[in-house]
Amino acid sequence: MDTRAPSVVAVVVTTDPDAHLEATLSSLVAQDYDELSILVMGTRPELTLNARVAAVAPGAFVAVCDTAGGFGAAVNQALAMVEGSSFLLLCHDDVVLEPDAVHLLVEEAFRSNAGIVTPKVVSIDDASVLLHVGQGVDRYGTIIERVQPGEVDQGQHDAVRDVFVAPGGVTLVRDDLLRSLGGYDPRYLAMGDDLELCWRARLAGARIVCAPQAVVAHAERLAAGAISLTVPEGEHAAPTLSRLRRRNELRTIIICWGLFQRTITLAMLAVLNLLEIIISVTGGDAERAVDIRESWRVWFRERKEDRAARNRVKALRTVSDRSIRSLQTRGATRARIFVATLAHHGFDAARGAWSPLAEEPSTEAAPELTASFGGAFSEDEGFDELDDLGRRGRRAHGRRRLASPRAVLVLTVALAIVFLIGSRNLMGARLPMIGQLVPLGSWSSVWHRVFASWQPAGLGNGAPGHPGYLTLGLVGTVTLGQMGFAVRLILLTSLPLGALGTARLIAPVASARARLLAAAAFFGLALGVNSIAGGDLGAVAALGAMPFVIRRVLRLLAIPPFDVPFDGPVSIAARGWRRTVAGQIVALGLLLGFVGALSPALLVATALVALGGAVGAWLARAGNRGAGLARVGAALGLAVVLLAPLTIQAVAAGAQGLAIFGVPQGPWSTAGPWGLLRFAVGPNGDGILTWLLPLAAVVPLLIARKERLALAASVAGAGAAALALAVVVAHGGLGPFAPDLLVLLAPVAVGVAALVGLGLAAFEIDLPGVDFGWRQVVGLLGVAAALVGLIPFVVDAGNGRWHMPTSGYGDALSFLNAPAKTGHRVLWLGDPRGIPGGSWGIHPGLAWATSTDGLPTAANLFAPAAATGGSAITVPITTALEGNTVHLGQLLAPTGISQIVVVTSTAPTLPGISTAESVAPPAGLLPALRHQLDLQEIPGSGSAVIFDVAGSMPVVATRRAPLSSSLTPSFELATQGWRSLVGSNPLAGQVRAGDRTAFAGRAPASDFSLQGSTGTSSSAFGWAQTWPVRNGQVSLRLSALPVDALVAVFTMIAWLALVLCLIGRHRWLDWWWRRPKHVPHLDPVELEEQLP
Amino acid sequence: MSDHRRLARAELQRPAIVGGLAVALAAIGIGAWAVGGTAQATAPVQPSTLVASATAETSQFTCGGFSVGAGSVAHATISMVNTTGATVRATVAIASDAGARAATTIEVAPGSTASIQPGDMVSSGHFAAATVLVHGGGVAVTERIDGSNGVSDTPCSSTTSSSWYFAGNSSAKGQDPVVTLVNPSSTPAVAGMTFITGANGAATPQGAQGLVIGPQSAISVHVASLVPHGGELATLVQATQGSVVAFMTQISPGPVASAVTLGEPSVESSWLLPRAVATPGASVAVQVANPTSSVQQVSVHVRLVSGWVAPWTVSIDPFTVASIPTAPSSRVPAGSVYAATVHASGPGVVAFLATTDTTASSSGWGITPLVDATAAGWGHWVVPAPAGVVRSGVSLFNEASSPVSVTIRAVVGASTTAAGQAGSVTVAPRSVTTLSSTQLKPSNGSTLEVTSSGPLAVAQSFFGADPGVGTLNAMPLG
Repeated sequence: MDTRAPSVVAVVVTTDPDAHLEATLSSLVAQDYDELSILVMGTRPELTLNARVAAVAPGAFVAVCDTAGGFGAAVNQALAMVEGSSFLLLCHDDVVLEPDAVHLLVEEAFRSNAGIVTPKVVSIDDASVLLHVGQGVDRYGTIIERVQPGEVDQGQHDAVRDVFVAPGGVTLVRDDLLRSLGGYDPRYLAMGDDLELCWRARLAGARIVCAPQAVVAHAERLAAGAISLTVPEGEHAAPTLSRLRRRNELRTIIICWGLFQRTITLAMLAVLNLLEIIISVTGGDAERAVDIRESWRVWFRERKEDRAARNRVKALRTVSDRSIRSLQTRGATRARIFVATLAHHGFDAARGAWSPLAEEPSTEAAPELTASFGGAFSEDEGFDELDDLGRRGRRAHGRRRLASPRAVLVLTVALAIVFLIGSRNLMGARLPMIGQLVPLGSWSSVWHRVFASWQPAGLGNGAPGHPGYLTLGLVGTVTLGQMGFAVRLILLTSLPLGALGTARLIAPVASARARLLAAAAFFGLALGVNSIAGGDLGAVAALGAMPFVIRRVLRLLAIPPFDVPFDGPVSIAARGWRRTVAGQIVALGLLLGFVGALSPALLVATALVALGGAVGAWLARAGNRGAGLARVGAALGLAVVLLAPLTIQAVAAGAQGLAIFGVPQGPWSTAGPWGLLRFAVGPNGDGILTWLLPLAAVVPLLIARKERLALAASVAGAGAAALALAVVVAHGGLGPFAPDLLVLLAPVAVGVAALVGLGLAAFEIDLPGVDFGWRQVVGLLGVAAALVGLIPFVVDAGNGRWHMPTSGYGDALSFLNAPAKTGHRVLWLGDPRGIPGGSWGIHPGLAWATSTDGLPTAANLFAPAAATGGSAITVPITTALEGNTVHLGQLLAPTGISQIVVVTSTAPTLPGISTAESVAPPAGLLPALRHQLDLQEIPGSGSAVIFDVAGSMPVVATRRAPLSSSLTPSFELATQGWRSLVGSNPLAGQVRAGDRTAFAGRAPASDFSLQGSTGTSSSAFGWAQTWPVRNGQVSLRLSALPVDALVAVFTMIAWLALVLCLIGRHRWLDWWWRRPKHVPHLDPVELEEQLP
Repeated sequence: MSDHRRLARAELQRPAIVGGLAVALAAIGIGAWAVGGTAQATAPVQPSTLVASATAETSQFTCGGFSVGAGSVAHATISMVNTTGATVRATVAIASDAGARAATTIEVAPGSTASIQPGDMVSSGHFAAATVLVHGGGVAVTERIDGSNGVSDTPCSSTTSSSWYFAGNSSAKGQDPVVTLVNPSSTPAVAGMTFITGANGAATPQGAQGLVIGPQSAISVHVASLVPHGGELATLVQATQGSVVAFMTQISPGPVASAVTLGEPSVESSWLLPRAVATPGASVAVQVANPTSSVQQVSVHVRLVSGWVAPWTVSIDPFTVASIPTAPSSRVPAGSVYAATVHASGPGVVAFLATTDTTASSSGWGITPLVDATAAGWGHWVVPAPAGVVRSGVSLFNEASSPVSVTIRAVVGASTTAAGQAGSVTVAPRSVTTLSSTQLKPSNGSTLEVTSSGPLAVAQSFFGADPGVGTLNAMPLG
């Protein structure tokens, strides 16, 4: 009877061997297993290999692979050389086996009837540190270690157990199993070949166990980067390990899963990968995105090979996917790790920008302007809590309470929850028609407004489309055309973004705790929720963007702590160009352009921030004010160019162009200076507690030092400048120049919030070295005031919609959409805050707008800079206000106005159901309208007073009598006898029998022509047109050149070009476009097999 | 300079930073305070008889309280006085309380007066109203009622209101006060009335509530049938929907005499009477109604040309009427011309001048509203020419404490000329200047334009009224 032990052939695959090779061979030679042979497979030509092997293991065989490939290819080649062995011991060339390792592995293979046995792997540098005791895997092919990084071996894993993966290094494989599996897949260079082999072994019914009694030390040279990978066929450069891992994971699950599991897994993986790409790109980690992209690209490229591999797997499958699934870890390991790391160490650690095990970052982060969520809140100040790795020692408790990342995260989440609770009724419910919340219609209609050559607002306008539509269209594109969601996205994410930006504004000089307080203060100030309640999309967006604007302005002004030198000359769009002066200017200009499109007053606010910030810096003797102001001016100039459609309108309108910034509100219904300071500009923020946050903002000016004081002075200066202009505008002191008050207050809000945070930062950082005195008391009072000042925000959250009215004029006045009103206009009069959509001013507190065929639509969202032909409306209104007419309806008749709606509040007030902010029109308006003989007041319309206009002309009409071009609406005969064109389309129809004159009340008159007219057109009422017609079909055509569309295209191209310049080749899109660098490829030189 | 030194310098600037911010905030506060409050001014109140400026696009007057049809007791003439230098077109629409309607358009030559008689246009109905749409401005519209004992003039209303007040009437036996409510607008109106009779308090008869006045329509209410035996009658008209114009026509028994007056749209705490004549044989009294819930002390100060006389002071309970006879009395000699002021201590009263015939052979009744504060603050007036009667004089009453320079020009055709010797006068503080017909010659029969450098109240009187001398307040010109 043959009692020999089963033969084992140790296949040592070596690549660029270093001294570890000798150690490996020596440990193999020293094994107490007699039936062990050694075969050394060189993957690359190595002239001294034979001599080195012979010096240590004279009995070993040496061979060199004749094909390029990795570990698996070499093993496959060795498999062809070896015959008659029972087991193969597959070894790397940087391992050291304990003398009994092979013996124990073989024993365990028999004891457990295992096909594959893996040893306990420890660090070659420190044998007490565990590296592997087998590995697990999830359904996506993500490897899961059974030990924590750096875990000390204390015998805790010394039980034999089944594992899914036998990690590479040293693996004992039954020879017949390996042969039945067909060896390794040669396409796997590294990083995953072990998973693929083990998975197939599992599918074949083999058992894989870890035998921890067998101990192997592993240097893991490949993971350490000591070995360069072979360049795969068809590629120009060797992939990185992470890329290789991604590629192999995807390849493995495609090969090893059956159809059902493969379909599900790939679908879920695609979603996870997409999210990961977004997070990576957002965090500036383009490499990761490239890896993911490459994995899918390789899958597509090698789909035929994969199909063949699947067929091979199908042939050997004896175990169902369900059984395999039961052996795997549930969930998505990578996502779970991301969330856990995010929770413990912040975003930068989660996305892999730094390792939580590495040196902890300093308390004061470098003032590098990187965009990351983690940069706002995450900071490794953990002292009072251990992380999951148990690697944190406890530090002294005391003043750093609530400063750990976990505590900050918890508080941040609590803040977010309060905001979400406060906004809960705005998320799903229909938004009322107030402010700018007019129905936007479809995504395509919004884009149509961008390129349209004619805008129906007012009496019609040939101005280019308002760039606000462009911004909305872009946001709507992001939301996949869901414009309602786009509006909510702007409405409800701007505040959190602004809070984030405020935290980042003070990040260079403040702790995470102080940043959190600043963010909370930003939420707590009533401006944000009042902007939401008023449905002012522009103001909300401007407020959200303002912290970022301020930071960039301070950067351009070189005000501490943003006074680090700009990067040197970098070619445009190259890596680092964004950090140059030009890049910073473009970044600010682009931000102003994108957000300013919704609220042009942002440009005014930015100018104030620059001026006020410069004054503050001058007081603090800091910053580069002259050059900085010029840079900010350049950014503003760029924004003006990026808003070309609006700029052209404003310039063409002359003094009236100032209306693009806003319409004067009624001073009588606007808060006074102290109300503005408390942001009591809406339904929220009224109460004595709202004084506390502005009071707390004074603290850093009293106790802060160094960069904190310089920053405090600058933001205070910016806020004061903005507040001053806001007060003047609120009093109507600048006439028609009345930038949106809420936007003007945005720098004030950001300044107050930042100062509150700086107050705490000063208390933490600046006061410890100062003797106890009034400063400490002031600091404590400031913090207490800030915390108590948040109470109104929490209380207002209970409303669930920040006191936004539950219904708007769209509900109360729905009858205006009656078919009978088709072909007519509705004139809206009152305070601009009460008129849905855009409007033009007549007097402070009295604005006007029109809507066509009923209620306002997307076309009325933005008012062009000047209302072409608007005097046809404003002059009669003024005449009526002065008591100089009793026939306002007749004077308005040619404009097609069939109803006048006078709004007296931002929304209808329904007792017990809905309340709205009162915005009373001028006191003389309603009496003047009631004095008109041809206006009939419709009773019972709530907060809107409605008048029917007798004798209103249809916008497009015909009649028998001709109309002399010299006639004015004062002549009754001029406005009588008009009938609407027969037809459903107001722009085309059938002329009634006997009618000889067609009228079109659509400005600008010169842009329209009437197809079917029998002669040339004549001017009507000074702004409209008439044509001679006879019975027949006619249609009104717009004959303007598509200049507006060209301007819109230019604007879009300019935006896109600058975006691409800013993101350059190395961010954002680079993950898709980047190609691996070309490196010289060395063809493997086949060496003759040598035997010792 | 190193960063550290630079930042250290920033700390040295702390006082400047704090001070700068304090100064900025103080400047903001002071600036806001200096600009003034932001409370909205109340709606500008315009006199109810305002004549639109010549540049107005359109203007409109509402006349009412006259009768049409067979047996008319208050036959009316509507006069349109064109004070401008251009021909103005006017459209007059008549609506009777029976629903009859008629309209006509006439052109008024520059500086002239055109008249129409509604009774010639509408014959069905009892009482009627007229709206005069003037296609321009500068035209004053008045109406006159002819009675067997004389005439009664009143300016037509250029505005509508949700409230109107009357005093000086009577629903005593034989007297028939008629309220005419006119709705010149396109919006239906609903109104109700409350009556105050002497010291008896207020009455709100059901028959006077919820009165619907259709667009461009008029209704009339005979008060005597609702609140008989009211010797001193005040009337409150309140529109709960829309706005109206209210006229009161006092019809006295045989020989039938009628007096018409436009109501006052609001209560005031101060009233002016620019001109009154202590007509022999007539009793002249100021009737003051207190339509509020407060007891008010009311004093009536009479200013003769020669000086002030001792005032009358009465306490008027809520919702009562008091009559203060000014002539004949020991303080006001018969035949004298005088002015008066009425001041109330509370939220306001309404005051009318009532002139009644004391002779047994006549029952004439003349009523003139006093001038409210809004009209009394005006500086530009139209004194329409009294067609068919003789202007006895014009009074200029300056209640203010500073003198007022007054220019009086007569509208003659397309131009104006100085009004005789009275072309330019100065009215002393708290005094009244009366211009006799002699002083106004040769412009006594012309429409006058009065321009003053300060607040002034202007009225004219004319012979031929019932009873005796009638008074017609000047109409403010925009």
